[in-house]
Amino acid sequence: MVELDLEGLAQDIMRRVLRFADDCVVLVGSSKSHQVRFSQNRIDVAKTWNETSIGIMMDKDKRVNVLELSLPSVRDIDEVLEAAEKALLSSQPRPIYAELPEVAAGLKRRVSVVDVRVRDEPGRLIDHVHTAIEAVKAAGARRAAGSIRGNYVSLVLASSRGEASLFDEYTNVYMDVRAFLDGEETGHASQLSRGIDGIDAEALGREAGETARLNSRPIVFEPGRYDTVITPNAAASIMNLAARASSAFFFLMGMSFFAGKLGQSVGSDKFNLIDNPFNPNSRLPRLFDDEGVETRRNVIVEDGVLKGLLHNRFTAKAFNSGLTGNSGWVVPHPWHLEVGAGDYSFDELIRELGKGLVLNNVTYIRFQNYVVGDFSGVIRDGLFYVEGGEIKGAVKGLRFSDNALRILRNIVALGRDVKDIYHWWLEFGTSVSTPSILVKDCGYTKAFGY
Amino acid sequence: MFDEDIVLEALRAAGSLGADYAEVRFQRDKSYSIVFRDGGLEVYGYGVNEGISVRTLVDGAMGFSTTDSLDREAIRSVANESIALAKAQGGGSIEFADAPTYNISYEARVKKRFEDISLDEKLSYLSDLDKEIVSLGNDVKVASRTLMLEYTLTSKVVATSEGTLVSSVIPRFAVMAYIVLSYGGRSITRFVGLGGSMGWEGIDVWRPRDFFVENIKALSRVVRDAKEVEEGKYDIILGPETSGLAAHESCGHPFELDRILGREGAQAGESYVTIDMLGRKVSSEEVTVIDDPTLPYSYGFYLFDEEGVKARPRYLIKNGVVNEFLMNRETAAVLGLESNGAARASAYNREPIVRMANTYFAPGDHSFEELLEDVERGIYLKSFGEWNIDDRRYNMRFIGQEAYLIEDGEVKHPLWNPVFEITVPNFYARIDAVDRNLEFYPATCGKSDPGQGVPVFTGGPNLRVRDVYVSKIV
Repeated sequence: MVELDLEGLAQDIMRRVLRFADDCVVLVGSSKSHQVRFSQNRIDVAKTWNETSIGIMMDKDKRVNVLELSLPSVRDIDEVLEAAEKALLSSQPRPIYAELPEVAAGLKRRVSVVDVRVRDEPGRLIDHVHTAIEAVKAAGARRAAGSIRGNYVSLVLASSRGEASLFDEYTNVYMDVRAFLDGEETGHASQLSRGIDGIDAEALGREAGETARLNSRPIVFEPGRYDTVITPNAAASIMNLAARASSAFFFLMGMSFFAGKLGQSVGSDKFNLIDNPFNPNSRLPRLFDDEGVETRRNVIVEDGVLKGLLHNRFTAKAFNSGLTGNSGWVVPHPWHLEVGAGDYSFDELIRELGKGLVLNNVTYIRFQNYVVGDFSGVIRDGLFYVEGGEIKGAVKGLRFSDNALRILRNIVALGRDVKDIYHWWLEFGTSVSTPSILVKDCGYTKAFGY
Repeated sequence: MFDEDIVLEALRAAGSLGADYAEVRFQRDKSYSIVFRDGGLEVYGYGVNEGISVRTLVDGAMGFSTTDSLDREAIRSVANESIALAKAQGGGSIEFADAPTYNISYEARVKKRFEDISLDEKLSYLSDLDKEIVSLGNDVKVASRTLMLEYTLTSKVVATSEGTLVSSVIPRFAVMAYIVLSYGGRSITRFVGLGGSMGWEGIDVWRPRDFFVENIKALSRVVRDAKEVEEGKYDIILGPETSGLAAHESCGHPFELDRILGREGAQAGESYVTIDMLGRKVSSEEVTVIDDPTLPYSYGFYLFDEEGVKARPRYLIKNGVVNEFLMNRETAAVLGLESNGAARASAYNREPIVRMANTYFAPGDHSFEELLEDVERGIYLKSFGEWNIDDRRYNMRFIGQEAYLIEDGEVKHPLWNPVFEITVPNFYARIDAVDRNLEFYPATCGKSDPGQGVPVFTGGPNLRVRDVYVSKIV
């Protein structure tokens, strides 16, 4: 295929937009991705994506419009921009407006974040799948399912607030393995990396298979409140609730349980939450955000206190805050969350727990009230009863039903077993590095008739 | 090149490269999004997502490759990639059920094109709606309101190596709102919306302004006057919004044959439903659950699916008996059946998989008053907030948002957050009556990896469930 001149495309579109707009930023992304999906111990489908996205944000007299185009629109760009000009002129000024920020020129990476094999060698993903399936079976489970995906991303940003274009390039790979003995006896493992070699498919298959086998010892358990060790897989799901809550956009919209609590306690003094795109396994190791602002490490919660939100230029103005480098195309968001680790090994956390539950995975989290933080989530791939530091059996039929703020406030200890987690059902799509977390008095409910 | 030429070029390329089966889809989604928050325009967005996908079978293995570059070289390259991906698997066991071929074109026509309505008129509509919502606040405060107009025009061409060529144009329009109400120490957060396969005329047909105002007035009463629910056994009447959710989550999803066969095992999950349940009685004769993509003006409307199979209503449960599953050609072949046209993809760059369209309990013969009249102690669960269901679709929960106590056949005071958590077989076994009302709401159904959100209707009639346990948030 013909190599696209991404920078030329971005600069050309920007120049055209500036014929009628005061300011403009154009973000052109080109990606090549591969995925292999499998179930019932065999490959279902292998996929490849070749994509180019063109995002345009344009300002005029405090009016701001956004365009998101795919490559074929370039052939009609005059017509598209003519309509965009008309829409911009008949749009309304934003009630809260801030000018497009100056872009940070000359951004360079300190370490490479590209493994070109992710782009060029999809067969390696197929190899990982075969390895994982065999490992699941070797661990004693009957069936394996999952997926592995690798992405190569190249970005160019042109802005009317900077002479030079900004460039970025990175790869990421993530794999999910789920093992089944029977319908409810399941296990799961996942891993996130920058490159092909960072995925240990054999270890993932083994972990998923062994967890499925642990699930084959069901015990009857009543709903109630139990101290719980939340493993990294489940903790990543819960931290995705904090990811959304930390976006100033959702704060303003009334969809954040952090609303009204800036500078106040939102968690135990052991709880620290940071957005860090430079984490070695960040899924989105971005150098700049969608407005051309240099990304950075942002402290969201420190020692349990809500220190800051994640902003684009408009929310920063609304909160009288500085820019944080988190602008998405409309909604500011984290790039990669880190939960501050503690001193405990996983076994020490289990001993500290004494009697309680280990929550291995939680999905399908929904709120009854976004501001209050009441939610429930579905437990899958293991909820284990622990007594005297030993797993006594697998608890079936319970639902994780609690309040997001209460969970953060009830954190009593954190492990040092940090894992980098990204899988498809994370509620805000944010990758997370998190250890296991011991939380007291977690709520569990049970369905009528179970 | 024109859209059809692009598709046929890719199809020729896949055929010449050795595919046993090839299917090419061109899709262009033109979308408009207007977000109006707390009285001001937050964002006006326009988007075009456009490209082709080539799905192939080689020796029973499937490859799927996509590109948004539509020049001849790129099209041949993506066809080649699709076949290379299939071959790299070293064979497989996938077969497609036989399907008739079609050469047809169809369009869901609108009376008022969304594109022809000025931005000024659209913003005026939202501004007036916003003012009306604000005016509803008195003792109950409208703490935040976000109003949205979402419109997408989807143009598609699907061609298969067997000779099918189907073109379609389908518009989808929705008016949505997210509202936060507060009173004293209480608050309610509420998503609400109306929509369908229509143009701007939907504003006159659906009357979203009246609907939102009615919703906010009712929820204002709830946040101010609702009493704590007393935990225990009740008869429950689910309103159309809630019965629609139940039909979608507890019947539609577990009846997707790819889930039953395990293909979504690591993602959306498998199913408590097994193939041998076909023909088994699971509910009363009153209960029929239909998934019907052909419902005119519906949000999930289509007449041919992504594999070129003609759509039809699917009777998942018929008079209380498991009647059929949702199938594409791959899964239908496993049962030796024909596809019932349930293959959908959310965009050009997504694989067609088994999906719902518009899933609902078929209306019955009763009036709403007849459902009420022999309920001594019950709850009318008109709308919901939180909901979820486990990955086998066996264990579900939803919490009432607008909910009322029923005593001796009469609807009484509102109740605060009644929690309805029940196993799915238990739920279906306890439905004893369905009324003749029918209301629908637009929704986006999520499934698979990468995620695919497809437009669907949820909704239905009011239905009654006997003697179930209700609790409260603890």
